[in-house]
Amino acid sequence: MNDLKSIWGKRFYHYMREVQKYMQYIFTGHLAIVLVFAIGAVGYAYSEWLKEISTDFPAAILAAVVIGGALVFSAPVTLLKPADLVFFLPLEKHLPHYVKRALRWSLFSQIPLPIILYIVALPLLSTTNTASTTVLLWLVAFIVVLKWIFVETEFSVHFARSGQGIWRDRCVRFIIAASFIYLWLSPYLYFIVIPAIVLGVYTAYWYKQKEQKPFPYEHFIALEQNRMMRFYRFANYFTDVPHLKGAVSRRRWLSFFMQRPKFGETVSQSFLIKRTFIRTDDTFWLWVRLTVISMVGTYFISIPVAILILVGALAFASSLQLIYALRSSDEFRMDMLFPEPQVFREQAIRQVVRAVQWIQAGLVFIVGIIAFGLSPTVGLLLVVMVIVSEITIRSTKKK
Amino acid sequence: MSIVKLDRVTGGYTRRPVLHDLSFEIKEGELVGLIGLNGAGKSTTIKHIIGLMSPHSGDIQVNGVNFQEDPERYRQSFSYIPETPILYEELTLQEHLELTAMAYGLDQATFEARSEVLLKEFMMEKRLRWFPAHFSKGMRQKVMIMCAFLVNPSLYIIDEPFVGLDPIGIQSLLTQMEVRKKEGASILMSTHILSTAEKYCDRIILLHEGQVRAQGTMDELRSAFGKEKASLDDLYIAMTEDDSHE
Repeated sequence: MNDLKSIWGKRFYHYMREVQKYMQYIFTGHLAIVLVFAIGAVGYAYSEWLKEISTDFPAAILAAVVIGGALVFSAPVTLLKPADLVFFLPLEKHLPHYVKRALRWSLFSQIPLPIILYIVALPLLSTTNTASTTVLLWLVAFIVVLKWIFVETEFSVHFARSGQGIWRDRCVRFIIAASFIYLWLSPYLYFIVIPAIVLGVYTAYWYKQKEQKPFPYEHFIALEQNRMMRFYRFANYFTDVPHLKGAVSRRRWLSFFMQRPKFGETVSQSFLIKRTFIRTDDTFWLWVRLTVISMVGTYFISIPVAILILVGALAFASSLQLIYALRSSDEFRMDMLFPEPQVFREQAIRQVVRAVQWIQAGLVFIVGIIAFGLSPTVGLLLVVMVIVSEITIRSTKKK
Repeated sequence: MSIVKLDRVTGGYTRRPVLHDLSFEIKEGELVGLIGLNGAGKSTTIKHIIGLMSPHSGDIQVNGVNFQEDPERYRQSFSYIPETPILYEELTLQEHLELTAMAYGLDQATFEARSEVLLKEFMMEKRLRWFPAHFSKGMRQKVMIMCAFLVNPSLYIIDEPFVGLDPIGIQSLLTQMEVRKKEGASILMSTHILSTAEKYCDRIILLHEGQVRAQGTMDELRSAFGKEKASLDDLYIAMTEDDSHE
């Protein structure tokens, strides 16, 4: 019994060291700058928006949907490893001691997000006179309790069904959480008894389902590996993560961007890098996400300075992270032995990043024209994005 | 003429060397087996030859060129098949072949002619559009082998080539090695499959604790160990026993 307790303790220590090791690269790097600018721009736009907001704005619904959405994602953090499938089998009876600690950590590590969203929602809820201070203070306690129940329930669903139907479960819990928060903020706050009872029955049902099944080691190990891989992929944008393997997709619909082979010319690196960018899911969707955020920000934010700061910061983040991602780790690759100068790879990376950043700037420019018409501000958007990208591409040194 | 020449090479990952005063040559059209226990320095020797590691002292030449003198010409002379297949997860089989052809400056006609033969030999014609994620370990190894043979260089460096290959794959590889050898190419092959090494290699280099313990044809090795009818397995065990008696 004590063995599994101490195993959790040791694992947790090593896990925290591993996370801290990569966190220091993430938060001492360029992300800190981007975060300061992006939060500043969005925060400024939010405070300006609050000044103009009418009291009949459906703030309770918005808060219920956003906080409820953040509450439902309650995947267990078990720190299980592949070898546990063999070595934990004789200790299965004592596993609850290990799981208890794992779920406690899952709660503590996941509670900050809904609490932050609650804090962000407070000025909106006060400005619109949605609820009294007492009600708002009680809400934070409910958020913690809901999160704790959700962590336990999601664990039971994974346990009982090996993760099958997890999205259905999340939808059910989202409806319960959103209606609970909405009713608490509405004039009919005593109606929270209804979602509370439903939640009690629902949780009890899954707890009972779980009791009838053996511990699904393989599923929880795969879940843990996927979780760590997501963290490593994110960390890889800031520093080399040696044991990283990203998913790829063919993306045939973008094949016209992937050049045909040109024999007898020294373009092998450009052939390779274009495919790496388009087909590696992390890299490609990272660029798409940042481009879409820039476009949405340009369309919805009405203050030109805020838009310029946002798109400039995102163009910087986008070009920098693409360069780091495409450079990849120092592990052996066959192109290291190609009979061509080493500098070709770096040149190919810069060319590809420059091309996609121009595309990003072009798309934001088009959205700018739709939102503001042909104006100097829109022209300035294009210029800022292109210049920021170009400076980032030229000045990014090797990791 | 020597295709590869190692002259008193000392080297390793850190300041503490793994290889000590290593010297050997591989001549044109020769198939040489690099044999040794785990940790004897086989992979480190190969990494030094392919230019991924620089020796602390000594000199390595491939086709008379030192890596520092002209890295591109040095690399043009060989292709390498690593022990563990290392592929680009984002490239199909066809794209791996195309990338290799472009990097080594093959023209389209040569590329098409060579790749057709190799795809048939290794029975991979129907998998041209597949990504590595869908390949078995043996298939991944076949992709590496095909890329190496596509280049048709004067030297092949092959690290544990038979791991993961099915018997037909092994036969195809040995056939290709024989063909290239007859055309004048040299091959340095590291392996633990001693019966195959004994049967196919012209010469054997026995590596032990980073030094050449013995080298030569099978007959020369037998006389060096004083075991007239010994197989390579016997000589290998004798080498380790000598060491434990020391």
